[in-house]
Amino acid sequence: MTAGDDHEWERGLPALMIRYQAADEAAVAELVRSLSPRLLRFFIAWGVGRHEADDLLQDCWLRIHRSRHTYRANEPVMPWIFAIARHTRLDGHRQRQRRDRREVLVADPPEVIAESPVETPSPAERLRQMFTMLPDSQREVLLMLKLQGMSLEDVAKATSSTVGAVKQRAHRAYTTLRKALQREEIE
Amino acid sequence: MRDIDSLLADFPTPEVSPVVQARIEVALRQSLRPVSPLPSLAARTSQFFGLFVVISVLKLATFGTAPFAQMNTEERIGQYIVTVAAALLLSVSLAQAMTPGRLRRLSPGTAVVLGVTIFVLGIILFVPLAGTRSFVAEGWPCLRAGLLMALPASLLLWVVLRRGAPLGGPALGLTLGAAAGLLAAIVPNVSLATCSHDEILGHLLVFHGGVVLLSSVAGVSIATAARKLRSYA
Repeated sequence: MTAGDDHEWERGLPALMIRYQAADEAAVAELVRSLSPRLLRFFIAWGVGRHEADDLLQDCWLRIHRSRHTYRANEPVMPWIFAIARHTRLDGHRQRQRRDRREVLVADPPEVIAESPVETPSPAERLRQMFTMLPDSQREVLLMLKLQGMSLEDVAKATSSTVGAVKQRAHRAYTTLRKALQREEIE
Repeated sequence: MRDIDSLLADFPTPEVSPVVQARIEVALRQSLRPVSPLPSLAARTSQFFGLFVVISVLKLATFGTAPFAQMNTEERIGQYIVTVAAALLLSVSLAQAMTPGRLRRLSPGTAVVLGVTIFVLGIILFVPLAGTRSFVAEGWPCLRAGLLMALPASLLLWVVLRRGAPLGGPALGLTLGAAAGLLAAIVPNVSLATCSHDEILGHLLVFHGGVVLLSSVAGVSIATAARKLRSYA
């Protein structure tokens, strides 16, 4: 999908949302089909497993469904969707933390013998590792700007902040990642 | 920089499992019915502001206008202006919280701090000062009455707010608590009529301001507890 296709696709979303509000089943199917891969990509980029990402996706759609009346015609759809996705991920993260705290280790894990040679991580894995160095606020801005191709203003809307704050977070994220890449090259 | 961009560009777009997609579609279709979109931000703001006005009028009808009689014209106008400004500020903040994905020029924290500052300035500038006989004994009924009024006020605000899809958590609790506190104790300082003494600056700041503060703290605590409960689910 090219950038032009992306813009064309995004321009068609408000009309689909209005049909969704009018209970058009075809619009529901079209929205789910076209938005789900982007939402799934957003959740997976946070480092959750595929199974959990699928759960988050389903939870996110239920929240979108319950909130569909809050979408206003002619407003961009992506910030509205990603504001909900962002909260779904945050709630999912809190649930996971709570679950992890409750789980008790009953036995020592088996010793893992390293296979040789060590495999080079894939670009996606490398990116995920580097993303863990970033605070959540910077990571989400970078994911929306670069992985979802959203504009600065749309990201500001989705994160309930200002365009200036988004620019600053993206700049800081880039600085941290650039330093990490430089360190990797030296090593 | 190019390396980071290329890494990001290489991040794969996953295929959504047909089973998951079908499950989502079925779940949405099962409860699919037409919905009316929320009114505009201006309309939602006027709904909250209308609540402030209605409750203030009810309070005036209940407690009378004795405190206003003690003020001169400038003090009265000043009180009206700062009260309306604080109420408008919190109404906008609550109306914004009803829809996800809106550019917020005013964060909930800033709105509350500004609202409370306006209130404090209003007291300092426009309330006539006089002596008092017993600070705590005369202040306690005001605090108690304010807190008791904050409860139904917050419920009324929540009834309007929940028609949207508020996502804010503790920040939303803070705004809602502050707005309820403002409604109960400040707007338009009618709870002064329940006091059996002359108004004084310290009394207003401690006991009437205390209602806003405690109500805000209660809002944050309830929102945090609700979030925790949700994460247990």
